[in-house]
Amino acid sequence: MLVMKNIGKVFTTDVVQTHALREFNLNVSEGDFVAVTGTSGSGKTTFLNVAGLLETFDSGQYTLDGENIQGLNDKQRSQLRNEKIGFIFQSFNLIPDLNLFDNVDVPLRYRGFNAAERKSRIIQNLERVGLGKRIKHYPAQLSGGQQQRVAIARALAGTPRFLLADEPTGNLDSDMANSVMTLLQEINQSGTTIIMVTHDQALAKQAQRQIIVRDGKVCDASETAAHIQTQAEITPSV
Amino acid sequence: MPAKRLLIYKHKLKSHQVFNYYCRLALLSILGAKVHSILTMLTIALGIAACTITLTLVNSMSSNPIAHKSGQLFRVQLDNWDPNQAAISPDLPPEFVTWTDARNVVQARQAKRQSASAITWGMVNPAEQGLTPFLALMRVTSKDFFPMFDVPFLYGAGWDENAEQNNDYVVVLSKETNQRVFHGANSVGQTLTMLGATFTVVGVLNDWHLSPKFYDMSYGAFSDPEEMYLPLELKAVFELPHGGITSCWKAVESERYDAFMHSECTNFQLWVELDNPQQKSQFADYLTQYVQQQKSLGRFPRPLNNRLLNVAQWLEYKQVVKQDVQIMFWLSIMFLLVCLINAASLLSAKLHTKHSEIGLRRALGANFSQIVMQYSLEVVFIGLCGGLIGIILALVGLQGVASLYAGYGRLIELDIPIALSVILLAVMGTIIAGLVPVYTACRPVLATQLKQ
Amino acid sequence: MNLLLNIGPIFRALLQQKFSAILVVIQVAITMAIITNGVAITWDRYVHIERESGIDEPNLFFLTSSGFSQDFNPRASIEQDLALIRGTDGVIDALQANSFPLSDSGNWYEIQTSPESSAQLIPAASYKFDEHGINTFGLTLLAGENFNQQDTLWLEEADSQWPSHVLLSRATAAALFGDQQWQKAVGKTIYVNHNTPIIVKGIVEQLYAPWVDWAHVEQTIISPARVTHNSARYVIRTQPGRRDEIMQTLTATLAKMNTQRVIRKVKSIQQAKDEIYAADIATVSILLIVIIVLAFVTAMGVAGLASFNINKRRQQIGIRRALGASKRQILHHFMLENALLCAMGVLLGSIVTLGLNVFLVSQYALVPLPLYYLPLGIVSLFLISQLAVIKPAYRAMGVSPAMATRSN
Repeated sequence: MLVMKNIGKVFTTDVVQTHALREFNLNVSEGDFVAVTGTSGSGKTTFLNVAGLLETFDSGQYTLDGENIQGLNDKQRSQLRNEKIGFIFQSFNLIPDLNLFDNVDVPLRYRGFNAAERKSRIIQNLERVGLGKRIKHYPAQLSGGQQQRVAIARALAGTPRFLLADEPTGNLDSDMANSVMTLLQEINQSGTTIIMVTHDQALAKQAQRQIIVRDGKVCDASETAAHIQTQAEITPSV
Repeated sequence: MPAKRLLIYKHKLKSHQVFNYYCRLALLSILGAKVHSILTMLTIALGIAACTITLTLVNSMSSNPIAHKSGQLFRVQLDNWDPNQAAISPDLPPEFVTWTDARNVVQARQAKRQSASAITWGMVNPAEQGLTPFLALMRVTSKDFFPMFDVPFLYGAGWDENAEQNNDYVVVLSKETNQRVFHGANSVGQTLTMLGATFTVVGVLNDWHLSPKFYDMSYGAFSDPEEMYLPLELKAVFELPHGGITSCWKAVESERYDAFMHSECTNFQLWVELDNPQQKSQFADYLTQYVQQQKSLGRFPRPLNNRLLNVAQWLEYKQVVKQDVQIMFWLSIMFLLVCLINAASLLSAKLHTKHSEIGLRRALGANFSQIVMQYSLEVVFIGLCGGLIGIILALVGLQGVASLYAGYGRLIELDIPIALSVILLAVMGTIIAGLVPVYTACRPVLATQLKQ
Repeated sequence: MNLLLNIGPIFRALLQQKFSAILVVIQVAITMAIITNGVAITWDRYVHIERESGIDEPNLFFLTSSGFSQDFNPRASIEQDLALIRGTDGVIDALQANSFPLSDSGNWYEIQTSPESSAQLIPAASYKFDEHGINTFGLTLLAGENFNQQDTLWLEEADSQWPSHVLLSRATAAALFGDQQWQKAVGKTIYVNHNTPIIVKGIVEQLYAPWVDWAHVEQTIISPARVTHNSARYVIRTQPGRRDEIMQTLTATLAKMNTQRVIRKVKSIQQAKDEIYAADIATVSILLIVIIVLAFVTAMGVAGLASFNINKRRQQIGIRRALGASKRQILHHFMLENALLCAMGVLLGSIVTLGLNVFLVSQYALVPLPLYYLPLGIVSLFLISQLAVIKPAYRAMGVSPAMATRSN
């Protein structure tokens, strides 16, 4: 589903070259819930950006849902992002000038659905995250947990193949964090692949599979073992 | 002890250093966004320049050159016109009077002062002075012309009643003419050959430039006063040409010069000086009586329609301020408005980017009024700079405008009070326009700003 | 994606920042009012200045010869001068004229088709040109014929005598005999001063009165008279391109030839025209500058504001990009947002424009704004603001989608 082979990403400034990712290898299968952990500066965010087609990479091969990403232009990558990936950010990243309805509407507009389709998707997904009655509200009128739920509704509205979550509970207190995690698990159970980047080990443990990024590499050897183990655990129930 | 010292220090800080501190912050903020600041100042400057230029134009065109006597000087209009058609539609009398009426009213001496005058020209041949002949623009007028219009003399004075009665060949020269002929020397008593006769100089005017030249605007409201002044009666003696505007409603009976002088053709400006309303009503009664008497002689076929307009009324009637200039004035006010709105939206956009800084400052203990003070200073500074640039632009612009209105050139100078009041207006406008964004920027709750 | 479909959310988002949106709307509205009214006035003045006076304006100049000595013989001097001028190389023709178009001084008379007082009085400016008039001024004779030498009448100063034949401008003939029947004027007798009969010898196409602002500026009458006067004004037509050169040399030659007079008021018709229309030219120039500067200020304001808004919304742009917006869609978003503000601006602007016009018309003698100026104003404001927003919107296009994962 998501295959990265020897991905490298270098940030070059006048003074230094930083290898944010080097020989990064990852294979995510359909239906996975993967937690990516690592200390700050380890390359987590770069991985997320590359995986989410927000940034290009310099070397290696990246295949997403069977499509080779290398060589795609900005427009094609935008379209792919729009159709296949849903994003959830640490700071929710709702657009403050838009009400909930319009916020969830944003990716659907770019997708080009007709009005009826958009409306039903928006309402369905806002209801799914328990905010169906607040569609006219603005982000500033909601609590952090509620805002993150809106972000999740927005990420799901386009029925993406997988969700990329960047510290989805980082700005939330533990009660809210738990409810968001429960929601993510529900979503995963209904078939959506989730990749979650976090520095919180406790949170990472709730995922089926955990990988650690260090110095731009997937470094923990136990990852493979853990992978097989979780696969074995999960497979019967799927 | 230390606590007390701190308190004193704080007190001192409040008095002037806080202000300096805010000034420095404002300056830093302005310099921090150079392009933005320049754009804002330029916007304000353009609006101020446009307003100052048109206000200066309106002001220089509508100034009353004899304001202190404006209410005492009256233009006399008599309606000797065609019974079937008014001189000026719909029913106004002509602006000028006939030779007959000019002389009759002046000789009746019913006002405190009275003068009838007309523009004419003739050859001056200063052979004695060794100069080549030239054609001079002349005004024939009555002796009262000089005192009633406060005409300034450099040497000598106007002629007296005797000279008028004896038809003496006397002449008053403008300062420029005296310079040309006598090289600026006191020429009173000197003789000058002109119109084929020998004239005696009785007076030389000092600088005298009226804007507008209210007593006779037939050669343009901003034309220069005439080069020479002669007694009215000499017009007939020398059969001088009829300058200015001549209007007739009846054909002149014969080709002779005096036929024109006895015709119903109007060519003379008639002005009187009346000190108070009582004098004015007495004079108006006299005019009524005069016209009635003329009617009995078969003149003045139209209904009684005398007009006495004082200088201010006369200038308004003559629409000295070009309509176009007034229209431009209104447009420039709107232009300034656009510029201020523009400045306000630029400032508001800038302050929006400062929300988190404001939140931080408030978190660190700044109160609402201190924040408002800090950003208001920035706005005032931008407004003042805009004003200064605006005045410079206005100065440059006025040069251009003066060359466009070549005939008005002398008058179009930057009026400092106008410039200052426009700057004041702009700064106030900028503050008001800038205060809304300052207020909205300062008001929001701390938490949301810090969180961002 | 259908662009127009996006209006709803953009509009609702604008409502969230009312203050800056209202400022832009008001600015666009007032700018439109000034520009539209300004252009209308400018055009009106321009048309006024550019009217054809009927004479060969670029190649004409005039000068005055004023005799000052007792034994100066005006008639002999005039004949001598004209012979010299007409013989000068590069001069097409010349004549002595009391007055001419753009001279701003002259006489007018009332003429009628019959001596009865009931006949309509037609005001017409009077020119005294002899048979050289048509050639000197470059007039077009539409009907009838030019004067000949015998027609010319020599007059003393302030003379009221009329010659037997005159030429009329077409407008005068049309005013006397009707719009369709102006040709019929040739050969007819008309009356000046109620009782002086004169025969119409010909009709010229166009010849303006001396005063450009006169209500009947196209109505003129030419009589073949010459006035002997100590001061004589000559009008001279030169070959194209030689006016200024001949103006200089001829002035010097005439001054040298006869020292009993002075040559003064040497001016080209073009100069006279510039002076007469000085106020109108000033209005046109000032308004044009105002319009251009204002368009510039508003464009700068729109661009500045858009630029700041885009900076403020960099992360938002990143989010949109992350959610799948292509670069083009970001560009369209900001263009559309701008167009929406502009639409509200021109809507309000149409009202302000008409309001300003009503005010100006009621206060000053202005013609009401022709309604087709409104769409013109709307289109130009749209152009100005869309052009202004292109650059900042292009910058917005460059915002990386990775902005979305940065917690600023």
